[in-house]
Amino acid sequence: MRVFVGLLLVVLMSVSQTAAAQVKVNVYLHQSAEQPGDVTWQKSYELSQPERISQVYERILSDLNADDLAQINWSASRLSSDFLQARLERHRERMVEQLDQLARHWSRQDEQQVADSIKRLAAQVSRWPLQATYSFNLTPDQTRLILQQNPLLTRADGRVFNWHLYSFPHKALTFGLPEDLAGVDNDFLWRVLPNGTVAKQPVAYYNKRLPAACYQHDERSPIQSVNADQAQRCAIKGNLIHSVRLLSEYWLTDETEQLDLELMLLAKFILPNGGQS
Amino acid sequence: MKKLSVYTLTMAALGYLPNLSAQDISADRIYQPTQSDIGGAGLMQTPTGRMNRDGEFSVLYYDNDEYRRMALSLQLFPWLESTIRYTDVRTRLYSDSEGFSGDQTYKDRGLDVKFRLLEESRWLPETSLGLRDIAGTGQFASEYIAASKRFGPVDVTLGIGWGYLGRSGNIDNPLCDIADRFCDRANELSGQGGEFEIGDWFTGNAGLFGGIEYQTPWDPLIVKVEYDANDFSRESSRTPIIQDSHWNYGLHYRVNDNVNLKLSYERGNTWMFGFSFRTNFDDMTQYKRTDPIPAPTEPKLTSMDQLDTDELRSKLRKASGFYLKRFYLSDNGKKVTLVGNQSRYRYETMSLDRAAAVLANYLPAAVTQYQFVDDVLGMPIAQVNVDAPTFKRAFYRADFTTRYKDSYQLVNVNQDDDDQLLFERASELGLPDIGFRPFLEQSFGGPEAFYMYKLRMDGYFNWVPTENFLVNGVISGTIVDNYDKFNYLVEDGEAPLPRVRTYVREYSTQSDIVLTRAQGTYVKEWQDNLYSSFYGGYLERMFGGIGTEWLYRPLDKPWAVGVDINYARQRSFENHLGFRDYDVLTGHLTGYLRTDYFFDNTLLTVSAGRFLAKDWGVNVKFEKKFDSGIIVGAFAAKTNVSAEEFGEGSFNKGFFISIPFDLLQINHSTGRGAIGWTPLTRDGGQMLQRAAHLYGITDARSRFYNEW
Repeated sequence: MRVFVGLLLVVLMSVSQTAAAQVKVNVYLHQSAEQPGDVTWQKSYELSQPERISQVYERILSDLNADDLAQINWSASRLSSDFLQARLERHRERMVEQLDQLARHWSRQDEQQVADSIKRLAAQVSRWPLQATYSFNLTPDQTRLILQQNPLLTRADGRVFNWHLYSFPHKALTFGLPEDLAGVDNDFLWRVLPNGTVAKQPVAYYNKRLPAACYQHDERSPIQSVNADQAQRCAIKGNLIHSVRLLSEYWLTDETEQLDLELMLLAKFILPNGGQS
Repeated sequence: MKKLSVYTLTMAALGYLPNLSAQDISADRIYQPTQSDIGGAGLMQTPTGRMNRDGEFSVLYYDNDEYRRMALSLQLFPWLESTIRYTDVRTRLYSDSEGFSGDQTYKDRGLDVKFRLLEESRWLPETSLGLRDIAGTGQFASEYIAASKRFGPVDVTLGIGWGYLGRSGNIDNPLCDIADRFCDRANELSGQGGEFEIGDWFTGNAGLFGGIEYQTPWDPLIVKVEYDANDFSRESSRTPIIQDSHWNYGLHYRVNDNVNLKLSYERGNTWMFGFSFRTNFDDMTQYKRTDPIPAPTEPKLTSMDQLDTDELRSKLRKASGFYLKRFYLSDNGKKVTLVGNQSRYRYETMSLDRAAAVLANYLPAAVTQYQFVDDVLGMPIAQVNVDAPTFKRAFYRADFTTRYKDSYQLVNVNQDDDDQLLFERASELGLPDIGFRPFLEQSFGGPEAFYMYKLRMDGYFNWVPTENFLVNGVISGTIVDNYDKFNYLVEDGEAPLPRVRTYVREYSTQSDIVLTRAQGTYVKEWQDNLYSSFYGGYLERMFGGIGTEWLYRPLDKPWAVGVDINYARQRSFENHLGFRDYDVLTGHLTGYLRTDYFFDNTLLTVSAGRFLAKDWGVNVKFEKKFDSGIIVGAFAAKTNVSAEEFGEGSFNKGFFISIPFDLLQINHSTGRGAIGWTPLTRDGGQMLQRAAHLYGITDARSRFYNEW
């Protein structure tokens, strides 16, 4: 028995050591705006040693033809890992659960229309095409020139990294609830900016020229919760990735008072052009 | 020309000037609440329910025939606006005694506060409750509730006011139906001023007021129309003020993001004008010349035997500003401890990032922990342990998520049993640090002159002859001043209190060059949390003596408690080094509490004990730090001295703004400068102004004045 346990340990350790040295990077190119989920070019790289992003980029450069490369919309690229994606999915589950609880709460309070809106939002959240990403706007030049923007791809962050590249114009869509439903916040619209910043923008007749409250994306903790105190004032100019209409604060309970902000932690990872949905 | 101006403004208001380029106004300033004529967000004479963004600071001047108003307004919190104001009553003398106040006109001090009750939403207006001219003489005292609702470019305000704001009594006081005591306002003036006349609040006549603020299509211009419920027949000006109309009309012109001009036609017969400057204490920044964090290299040393401490000291000093005093090796070469301090960066982590990078590039890979001990005057205050492998992950960007700060841990200073001393800076009797700096002493609103000042050049020296012992001093040379006007008079020649502060004129006129301070301070740390100091000398311009302070301050906790006791003797104003007969045993038990749980970045200090005039009482100080590092503070001392004994102002109080030097220069700095405002110099509630307080010295235990 002891010999068996010893052998098992040796095997497990050797497997783990081999695995520790291996990272797989899948690169996907999406070229169709109509079917953003469709992959027009794909390549996997097995890295026996940890490599930096710029090195993987060099591999792509040699494998992808120059025309395709020139078309890539870098601000829409997404570099994720299986670990990060799993964390994002866990966060999604928590959010759906919280929305369900909130719907039950308002249902008990005889606010059935609001409860129905919340259920509808929960159903939508569970279908959002999400692709977690460490960095928005990951341009090759930055990774090549700035060490702090050129991390190593290692087992510390994931076994499989997925790098999605898009080569079509970005079309900003609005997600969330329609504005005529009960419980919907029509005074503010949430925005996702190209650098991953999430902004709560006033859009009602009385507040629409007031500055938005912005929450910056932190590429070193992409799915870390933030709170409303961390908001910075900002003006929304230029391109957007998405807009999202969520629930009015009035319908958020003490336990869910940050729910809209937490939902935006998901919404900012919705794929460009809404993925396949 | 005049016609052209009116035409231009009218057309601009109507949006008919497409070719007129907009001024340089940021988009988010367009709907920012504007200042009223008397300070604080409002229309002209009346307030609105609006609150500015926290940190918003405005300086206002407004002028008409009877009054000149100067106000400082600060949005302390999103829900609290505070305003301090001087009203120069141009038609009255300060006092009937020419010998006391000369021909100076009367100055009325006022403090306003406004609390937000409700934020604006689709159906509800932003609603605030305000108190004007509290703790003043009450001449402009009023209370109000105002509600503001925006409809596109039009902001509509409706409010109800009591006191000065509601004197016309255009409605019955609704509170009179609740209790009879609200029906009459008993006290129009409140004696010495400075008292909170709570019993008068919301009493007497009430008036409805309101108006609109229209943001014209031309971004810089706002038009205001207001209905004022005041009745000007009983004014502080003591002159007849004719009110032909309750309607007032005004223009507010934003010259740029920081400067505003105001013009109004009020009471149906009077033109008024003013201007205001604004900034935001949260937003203020300064471009900085910052050396980058050293780039990663292979560690220079493979063994600690190769260590060249001179080289390491030099690299640390250059890259991070860290001044190394002692260097230890322990735990079989796995830990290094660096005792010293840095005074280059206000943000401690900026120094730590750079110092740890130097060590990562220099020390052998076998060293896995860097321990930085913050040493001030020979006292080890706090220790930051840097986990080297974690730091290197961030330094080499060996993954996506590790940050420098993930490797830092603030701990109590601990000495390893096997500490091996590798370097110690030789103890030497160095030369004092000597320098010169201009210094402006000032006070506002005194009876002798509105603005009393002394611009002096201070020669200062700081000398640390041995560890734990600091000698510091200031020799001041007056460049220009008007303190000779200070003319504190006492009835029958006998002051109700010992004159501990009101000999200002005598001190000021004694000599153009004086020894302001010469203090020796010995500090000692007794255990991790307990610190003490012993000091003596000429502690300040007016007192010398000896004393001791003890402070208990746990690491990284929001509270601390201290005690100080001093024997102080009043310094002579007849010769440079002598003393007068007056002496006092003074001291306080002081509690410090970081009130961040309730109000972000705040510190409350409460000191109870005996003050310089031998009065007993409590001094309360509240400090709020904004994102830029600017600290705004207020203090008040209430002692067993009655309002009559204290004199005008009733009790000692004041405000101050502490500004980090690095907001004013492109180089980093940990220093600060302060601007104080004390309404009146009186003798009650006065504390000793000695140097080197332990709470400041031990800031690294739980940083407030500098940043982590």
